[in-house]
Formats: sequence, structure tokens, C-alpha cells
Amino acid sequence: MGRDEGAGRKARKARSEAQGSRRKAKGGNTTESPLRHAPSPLRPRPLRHAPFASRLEEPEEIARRLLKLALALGDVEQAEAYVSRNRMTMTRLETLRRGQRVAGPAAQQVSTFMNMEACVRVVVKGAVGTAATVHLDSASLGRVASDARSIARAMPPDPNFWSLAGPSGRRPARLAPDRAILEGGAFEALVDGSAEAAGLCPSGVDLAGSVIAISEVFGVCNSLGIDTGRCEDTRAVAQLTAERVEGGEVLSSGMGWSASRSLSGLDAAAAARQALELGLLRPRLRTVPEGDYDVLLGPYSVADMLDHMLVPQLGMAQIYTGTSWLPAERAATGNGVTLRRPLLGTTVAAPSVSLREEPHLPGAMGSRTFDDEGVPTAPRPLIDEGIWRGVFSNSYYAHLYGLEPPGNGFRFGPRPGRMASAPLSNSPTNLVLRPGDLSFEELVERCRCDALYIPRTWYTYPTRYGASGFSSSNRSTAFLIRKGELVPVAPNAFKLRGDMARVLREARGIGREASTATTWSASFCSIVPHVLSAGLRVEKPSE
Amino acid sequence: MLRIDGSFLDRMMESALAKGVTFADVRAESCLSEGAYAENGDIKSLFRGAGSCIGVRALAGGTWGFASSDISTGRELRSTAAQCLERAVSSARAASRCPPVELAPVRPVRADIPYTRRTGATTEDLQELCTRLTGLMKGVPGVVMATSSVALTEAVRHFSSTEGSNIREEVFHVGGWLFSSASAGGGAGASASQSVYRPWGARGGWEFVRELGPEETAVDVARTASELASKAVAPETRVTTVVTRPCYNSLLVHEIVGHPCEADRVLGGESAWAGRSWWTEKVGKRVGSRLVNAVSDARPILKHRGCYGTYPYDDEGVPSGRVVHIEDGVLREFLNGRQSAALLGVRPNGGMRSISAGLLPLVRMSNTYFEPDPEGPRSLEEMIEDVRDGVLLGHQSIPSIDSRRYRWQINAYDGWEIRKGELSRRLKNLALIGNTREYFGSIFRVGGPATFRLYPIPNCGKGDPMQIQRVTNGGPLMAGKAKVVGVG
Repeated sequence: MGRDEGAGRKARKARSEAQGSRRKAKGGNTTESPLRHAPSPLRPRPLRHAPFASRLEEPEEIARRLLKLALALGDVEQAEAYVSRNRMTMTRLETLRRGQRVAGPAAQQVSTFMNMEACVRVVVKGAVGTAATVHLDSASLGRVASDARSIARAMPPDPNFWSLAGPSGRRPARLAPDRAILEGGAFEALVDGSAEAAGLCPSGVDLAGSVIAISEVFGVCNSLGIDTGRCEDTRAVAQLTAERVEGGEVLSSGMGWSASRSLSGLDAAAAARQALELGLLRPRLRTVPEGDYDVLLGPYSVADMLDHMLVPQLGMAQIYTGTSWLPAERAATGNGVTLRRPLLGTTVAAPSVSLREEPHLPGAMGSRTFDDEGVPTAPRPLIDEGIWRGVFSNSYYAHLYGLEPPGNGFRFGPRPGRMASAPLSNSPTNLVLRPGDLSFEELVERCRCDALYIPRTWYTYPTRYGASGFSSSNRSTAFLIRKGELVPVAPNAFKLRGDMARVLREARGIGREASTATTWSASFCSIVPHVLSAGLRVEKPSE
Repeated sequence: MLRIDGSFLDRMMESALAKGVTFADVRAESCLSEGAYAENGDIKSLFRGAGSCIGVRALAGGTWGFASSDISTGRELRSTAAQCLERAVSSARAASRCPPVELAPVRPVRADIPYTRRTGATTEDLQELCTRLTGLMKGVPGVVMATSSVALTEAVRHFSSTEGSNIREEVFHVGGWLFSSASAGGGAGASASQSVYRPWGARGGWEFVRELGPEETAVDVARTASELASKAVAPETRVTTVVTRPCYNSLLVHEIVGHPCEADRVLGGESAWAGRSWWTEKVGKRVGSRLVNAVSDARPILKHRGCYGTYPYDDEGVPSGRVVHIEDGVLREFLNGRQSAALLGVRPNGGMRSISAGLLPLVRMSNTYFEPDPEGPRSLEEMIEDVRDGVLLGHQSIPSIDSRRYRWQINAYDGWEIRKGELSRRLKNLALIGNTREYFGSIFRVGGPATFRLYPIPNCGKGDPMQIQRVTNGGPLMAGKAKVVGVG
């Protein structure tokens, strides 16, 4: 979450210290790692990358022009224009080894990705045609509008389509983006943050990961009165992994992260320290016995399970197609259509579990004012004291099911940020699991018999579509909890099989301190505490 | 489609050299795409898109810099390209230097590779195919939901480097996903139903649709969902003889051969993302029985026609080739790029691809598969004739693998019990749990060439930002020993 301005002074001090370290390394022997990077003579002064200069208008202006072009075509009942412009700057820290370490930890690669594109949806006789383009000159915009109309004309009406999104009664929140990220000034902070993180890494430990800043600028307007104007969202994320490797074997592994809406909230060094906590710890066990366990899940593991085993299931597209394991029934709607309806109001978790969507948290990386249909986002309960209360939905499914669109229609695609050419999904913003009142030690004390503490799960996927069963692994060093003692276990020591429905129902303890965690390439974050539950089985432990 | 002049890219590379880079390359592309999505016989969406982008990599001061951008108009191409170059060079210089990146040498290549499309496709063609496929699936008794997506993309891709390479290639892709959900006895809950997803597709144009026969695949998807919902049973958990069909082996080879054979993983370069490889430092060592052979082969030969991983040059301009990963059970070679090849002290073998010129190339599988045994059984019947008790695994579904690619669970939609050399009860929702050393060591029979099949895998995820790449995987029938579990 948000940090105060002291973080900026800290970053500048760290840069100064890093420069001092480099001067020291140049001077000869040090007690620091011999693999610290040599000073680079090719960086004479601080850089400032200007935004990509362009003669193009701003996204919201292009969107308005595109909408006019679409509506001018005739026989268009409704139309929507969406234009996005994203920039991602990234430093990639790597440690490479061939037997021994041969490079790093160091920023091996610094990248900037910029994309800008437009999408138009046109409704003709109840059919929706969609066309997108990166070519934003007038002629191309005219063509894409015409394409969308000809596509719509080629289709029969969609009986499930009611309308594009209309203006909501909700007042949009005001969320300030990070101006430095927006204006292309994140570069130095990322490079310096990476250098500071790398500088913390002692010899014998591999540190790797990415430090990223993303800006999303977009505008969406439609013929029903939606016009978001210019929308700006930013986020900064550091995800780092520290591992000790000997003879090709990973002996220990830890992960750290920092995720925020702004650079002032980004702390790559803190992420490195968090990763090193477990990365430096020597495991005492290479295996745990096969069997059923209580499991204490760390915040990242909770976020991982939410990301893969609950978020998709809360999406209306999965409920509609019958691939969500959450309870649903086939029922007729008011206009005679039979749909699978989510059984909201059903108990799906223990009373201690309350999960909310919070899109307006000032410093959180997933905070967004509008979705990509121009619907204002809104804080709301998803699971309230164990009772299922909410779903993720874009306007298509919301209208179909008679719901007020909650603002989850996002266009996340194969390139960073929001993509005009990506289909509308049903995606969350920030997820917040309400903390409990138990300290970590109290959670450990609550474990029955032997239990596992898993700070980081990996490859958590359902075992089949539509089921709550999943399979996973411990990617980082884990712990066997035996009579209150935490005994470190090697990373990748065991495969886990679990049941998400059971994990939620049998949650027996929720920690009192939440932290922000985000999974690989995710566009949202989870602010979650530790969770103690049951329903996990260790299969075929390591030799 | 925006036309990009290859000579302009050459001039760009000359100006890169003038900026003092050690090396630079540029990729640029223009593409058109059309897509359709249908549900239960009704078309739900049609989409058309156009894109152009450019991406520049530069080595300066010993480190990589990269910058990419969409190209909004033809007039913007020069300024956009110049900005990308400037940014890539300054980014490289700002990064650390520990020690300088080196690239394995390659000969520069100048090539123009057109694609001769024999059959065009209209929006109506896509719509018709999509709705027909869902209609076929929905017509199978028990199926309550059937969806289909179809997409056709055409792209012109350019590559140029400061070493003098310049390659232009026209690339087409066609394909989509098929989904059926069936319910037994009118059960409405997800747990009472069975869902099956399956991709189809080719690196090629619309002319491949007839060859691929998605109609047959669609009916099979629907029948599988229906039979699993109504007739199949869950397997018992046991260690037993397992025979795996080529479809299952496509996911097996993908997860536990292809990925751990990516050189960037081997060197630790993906440790924070995709993970590492337990095969690090095991080249020349035995990793399986003598019957286990696996390759990645991107060569445009007849066997690979239409496969996703077939290409003449990778995205560094390196000629594609046949890379032997496992030979008679011994680990031999990894897929690499020029940087990883230099670190490993081997020749580069054309393993670098990106899904877009706007993203960085990564080491990716191509057509990665188990090779058949020339003397192996010619059919499933021959394969199982002396198996007294075992399980046959069928269509692959979802994997779960540890970060070293050693310990895994790979699920299958369907399977069969094998009793006294014959198939008996139909099984559903089963998985093998194992580790690669034990499983590959247990392989005691590999099918012959007649049992060999290749399958499109359009959704291989890697990289940050994430890139979902198309690859092809497969193999023959194989038999070994492993633990089978039911996955509900």
C-alpha cells in the first residue's frame, strides 16, 4: 500500500550508497561478494526516458472520434469505442550459473513495452460486431468502424445480448495515478531498486526476478451516455526469488514481493530481504511423509489459491458454462431463458472467511476507477462470513442475469496493461481477505498433529474443469510443524493435492496481519493474511 | 496491412552500430486476424483485428536493452523505430554489467519466405464453421453446453540485425478450441457434469481446415464428455503398468522434456519465473530407459507440415534444426538461443521465439516429441497384448509440475482399465503422479511409427510479460509403471 515520501529519499540514498559500493569495488578487495558488478563507465548521468513522442491524440479523444464514426454509419443501434495506451518498464534480474555462478545477480535486461490500440463494438439488430486496430489514423479508424458494422450485419441476433453498458448510478472514485510512472520517469527507480536488491544478495545465493512499472491510460465511450474521459491507472511490482543452489540442486528457496499503485510504495530491497529470509535458511528435511495434513498457508499461497481456484469460479462466464465448482442450479429467467444461476446466499466457507473486492484502495496495485466498459468499479462483498455474496461480471452477463454490472469487464490480453483487442473478461481488482485475530504463533499452536506451513505454492491448477480439487507443489522452502516447532523442508519436496471447497469450509484460523501478494503476471492483487485449514494431502514425497 | 520495408530495417541497424552497440536486432510485424465464437449452434461473437509493432534489442555496455511499440500509422514508423532504438540502447547502458553478455556466432541470413495460401476465408466461413462445430457437439446426447472458437491470423514478420541478417516471412495460423460439457441424469451441479476442452489448429491458412477435420474432433470431444458423464468410473489409486496414448504423451513430453530442456531454465535464467531444470549438469547421464528418445525438431519437413513449431529460422535468425534431447535414455542437448548457447559452449540451435515483435524472444519448444521405436508395436492391441493388469491413459487435461520439472501430476480426461491384454472398464478423471527419473526409467515398451501422432498445443505460457506460445507435442504409445490416482 502507499508509502510516505521518506521512501523517495530512501531510494535516492540507496542509489548513492550503491554508487559508493561500486567505487569501493573498483578500489580492490572488499568483504562483499566477489561477484558484485563492476561499475559501468557507460552511464554518465541519470536517464530520463521521455514518453514515446507521438502526433496522436490522447486515448479518450480518439475514442470519441471513433464512436462518432461508428454512429454515423447508419443502422447502428448502439456503439462503443475503447482506446488504450499502456507502457511497461521492466528490469529483469538474473543469476546465471553453469556449475558455478557465471553472471549476476544483476539486471541482465532492461525493457520498455508500449502499445496503443482501439476497439469498437457495434450493435446491429441485436448482433454485436467487434473490430480492433493499432492503426489510429482517420482512415483506419473509419475502416475499423465499418468492419465492426459489417461483422454485426453478418451475424444473427444474439439472444443473450441485452445492451451495452449504460451509465451507472454510482459515482466513480477518484484514484490518483503515479505521475512518474505515467510520464516515463519510472526508469531510474526501477534500475536503482534492482541494483539495491541485488546488492543485498550474499555470495552463494541466486537472486532473480523482475521490477516493473506499468501505466494504463484509456478512454471508453458509448452511445448510451458512458464517457469516462481520460482514465489513468498505474502499478509497480517487484517479485524476487532467492535460492541456494549446490550441484544443480536447489537447497532452499524464498520469494519476496512488493506491489503498489505507485513508485513510492515499491520497495525492491524489502522484497529481496523477504526472499532471502527463506533463501538463506538451510532445510533439515528433504521429504515429509505422505498423508493428509493441516496446512498453514502463507499470504502468497493464499493469493495463489484464490487466483487459480476461486477467482475464475466467481466469474460469470464459468458459472454460465457450468465449469465453476461453486453451487449453481439451472433456472428460468424472467424472459423464459434457462440459465445456470449462481446460488448466492449459500454457505461456501467457514464463518471466519470474508472476502471482498476493494477496487478503490489508494495504494493498491489493482485499484481501478472504471472497468473497460466504462462501468465504475465498486467495493463489495464476495464471501461474507462464509456466505457467498458476489460474482465477477461484465455487462453482458450482468444484463443476462438481471444484475447491476459490478464493473469487472476488463480487457487483459497477451501484452502488458489493458488491451483494446482483448475480449472482455470477468476479472477482479483488489481482493481483500479480512484478517482474523491470531498471531502467527497462535496459528501454529492451533495445528493438529503434524502440519505443513507453505509460504509459496506453485502450479496450483484444478485437477479437472468444474471441480474444486487441485494439485500444487511447495515452490519455496516449507516447514513441517511438529509439536509447535517449525522444521524447514526443501523446496519442491512434495506434490500437494487439495480441495478448495474444503480449504474454505475448514479454515480454522486466520492471521491478524495481511500483506499484498500478487501472482506471476497478474493484473490484480490479493491482500491476505495467513490461513490455517485442512483438506490437503501430500502425495509421493521426494526421496 | 501496414507494409514494412526490409531495407528500412537494415538502415536502422546501421544507425544502431553508429550508436556504438555491440549488437542489435529488430523485429517488426504486421498482422490481420479474424475470430469467431459460437455456443450451442448460435454465433456469439465475431472479431476482426489489425496490428503492427516493432521491437528492438540492443547489447551495449554488456547488457540487453529492449524497447517495443505498436506502429500507429505508416508515417509514424520511422519515428517509432528511432525511439525504440534510442530507448533500447540507453536502457542497455543503464543496466548492470556482470559480466558482458556474449552471443554464439551465426552466419547472417537474408531470406524472403512467402506463404502460398491456397484457400481464402471470409467472415461467413468462420461463422459457419464455428456454429457447425457447436451444432455437432450439441447434437450428442447428454451434452448441455458446447462452445467453439475459430481464429485465422496472417502476419508478415521481419527480422534484421547488425550482423547483416534480414529475413521476411509470411506466417499464417488457423485453429481454435472445442468445449463440451455433458451431464448425466440431468445433474445441474458442476460436479455432476463432465467438461472436455480440446484445441485444434495448424501453422497455415484456411486450407488446413479440411485436412485437420475439426468436425471429427468436435464429435469426439462431445462423445467423450457424454460417455465420461454417464458411463465411466473413477480409477482406484495404485501403482501399476500404465500405457499412455500419444495425446497424453503430448502433455507429458511438453511438461517433463520440453520445458526442462530450455537452456535458459538450465542456466537459472528463469529461476524467478518458469523455474529451473532438474537436468542441469546431467548432460551425458542416463535419465530414462534405453527406449526413451525425445527431440525438438522445427525443420519444415513433411512430417512437420502444419505443426505449430515448424519454422525455417527462429526469431534470432538462426536456422531451425533437429535437437536431440534424449537419445536411448541419455540426456544430450538443450534448446537454446545465442546467449544461452554461448554460456553452454555449444552451437545455437534455433530455439528462440516470441509471440509478437513487441515482446522479447525466449527459448521455446518447437515440435517436441517422443520418438517411436522402429521395432515397436504397430497398434494399441499389440502394445497391450501381454499386459495382464494396467491402465491406459487417454486425452490429456491439466498438468501440475514442480518448478524443476521433476515431480509432477498430469491429469487425463479418460482412460481404460487393461485386463489380460484387453481394454475393459472406461475410466474418467485420472492422473499419473510421478517423478521423471522413476517414470522414464520404468518405460519398457514404445510404440512403432504407426502409433505416432502430433498435437497442437496453443497455450504454452512463459515469460514476463507472459507469452502464450503455440507449440506442437506428441509421440507414440508408451508403456511404463506409475501411480494412478482419481482426481474426482
